[in-house]
Amino acid sequence: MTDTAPGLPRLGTTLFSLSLEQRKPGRDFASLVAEVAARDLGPGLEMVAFQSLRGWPRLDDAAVREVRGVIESSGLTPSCLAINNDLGLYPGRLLTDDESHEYVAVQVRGAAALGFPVARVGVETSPAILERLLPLAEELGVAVGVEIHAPLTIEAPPVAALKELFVRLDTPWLGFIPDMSSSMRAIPEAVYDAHRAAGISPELTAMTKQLWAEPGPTVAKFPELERRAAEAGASPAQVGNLRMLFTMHGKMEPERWADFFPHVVHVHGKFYGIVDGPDGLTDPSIDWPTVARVLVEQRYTGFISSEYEAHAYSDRYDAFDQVRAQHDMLKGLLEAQASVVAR
Amino acid sequence: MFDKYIVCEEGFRTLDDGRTGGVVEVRMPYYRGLALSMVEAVDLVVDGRPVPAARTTFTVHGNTYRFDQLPRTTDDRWEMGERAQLAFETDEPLAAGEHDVAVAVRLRISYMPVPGGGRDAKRLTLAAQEI
Repeated sequence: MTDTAPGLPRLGTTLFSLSLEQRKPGRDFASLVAEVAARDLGPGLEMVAFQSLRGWPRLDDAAVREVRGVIESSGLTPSCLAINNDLGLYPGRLLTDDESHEYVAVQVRGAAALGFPVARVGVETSPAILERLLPLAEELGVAVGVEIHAPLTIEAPPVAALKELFVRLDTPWLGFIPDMSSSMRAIPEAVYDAHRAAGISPELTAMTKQLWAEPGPTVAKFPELERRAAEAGASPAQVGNLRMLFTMHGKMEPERWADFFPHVVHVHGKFYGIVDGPDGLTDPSIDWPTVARVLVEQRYTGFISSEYEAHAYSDRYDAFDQVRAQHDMLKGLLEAQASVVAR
Repeated sequence: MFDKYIVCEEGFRTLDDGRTGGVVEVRMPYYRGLALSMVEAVDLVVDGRPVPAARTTFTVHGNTYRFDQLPRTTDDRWEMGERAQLAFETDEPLAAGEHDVAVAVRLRISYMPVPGGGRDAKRLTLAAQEI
């Protein structure tokens, strides 16, 4: 296994990176996990429960044994299980707090049964629900982490409320899961593929990318985006696609991830494409040297799950190869940072 | 990128229960499985003619539902990648050969700012009938 030096963040993969691979005929859970291991994309293994585990969250003992067996025989280490709080389960209303708590609690128990040390939820799981989950998390030894994903940034009110909760409770069993979608430096090139398929001209995509990159909060630029897109003749559906770029790609300074510590239980190494440039492997849309520096300075020794998401825009790239490239890049950056920080 | 996988190229066939109509197999346009109560609609258009939801049924792993049953079906799920059978009745028998099949799926995903789902259209060839 490619492992980083002791005392550094550890690498890993979430099977979400392989969402398109999972659609291929003949591909099953066991073969996917085995291939992640064979390609040396561990040691950490994350998965989305509602994606990878049929029948979740009601797995019988035989199913639990089977999943554990697949992971154990791969030699990978369970890092995080992504679970969901489907507040919109019933038409016309959201889950009550009691229902939401129960919906998540069942899944935290499931994560423990499968041997995962962390369960990931989103910000739709409120601070009140998280506080109610704490005794269970503690009892099971499963940390519940809230993913901070675009469009959220450190300034977002729900993030401030979570920070206040985590500081007040000061427990290792609740915390943040930073996702690099919140701190990007450019909109990824892969969107051109998706936009072409949706009939959006490259000029319109380029205009959106440029407007995104201009200073100022993204939300303040929606009216300008809509005005310019309408002038260029974009349909309402196409404007929706352009707006999605502002929602899915956040512009927080990557240095700000330091403010989430020490309450970080896991990290999502979200990325949209690594390129082999003149200076070696680089990521045009995420500033990994800065992210690596923050994680090493904060003495983070948990997992960074490589989360390749350009499959949402394009099927032109091989997700396995992309994760491989990101691992090679990250290992180099983390080990280089370690020597700088140690000085 | 999931939209183009919604309508399955294989498995398009006529109903085998004596009624006129057919079955088209469809996949979830989302990265994970969802409870059937969150599947708001699977609209079907065959050869340019919309098929009313009341004339369709939805089958996942052997369990068949009418669309008016889905909103309260919270304990069964359309899994990611699973081929669900969308059966539909027509007035006239489907002719052998090619048909244009368009499917639009609407999903209710609570944390997304816009309605989820997707649409796909393919020209499918009716599988040869077994006699």
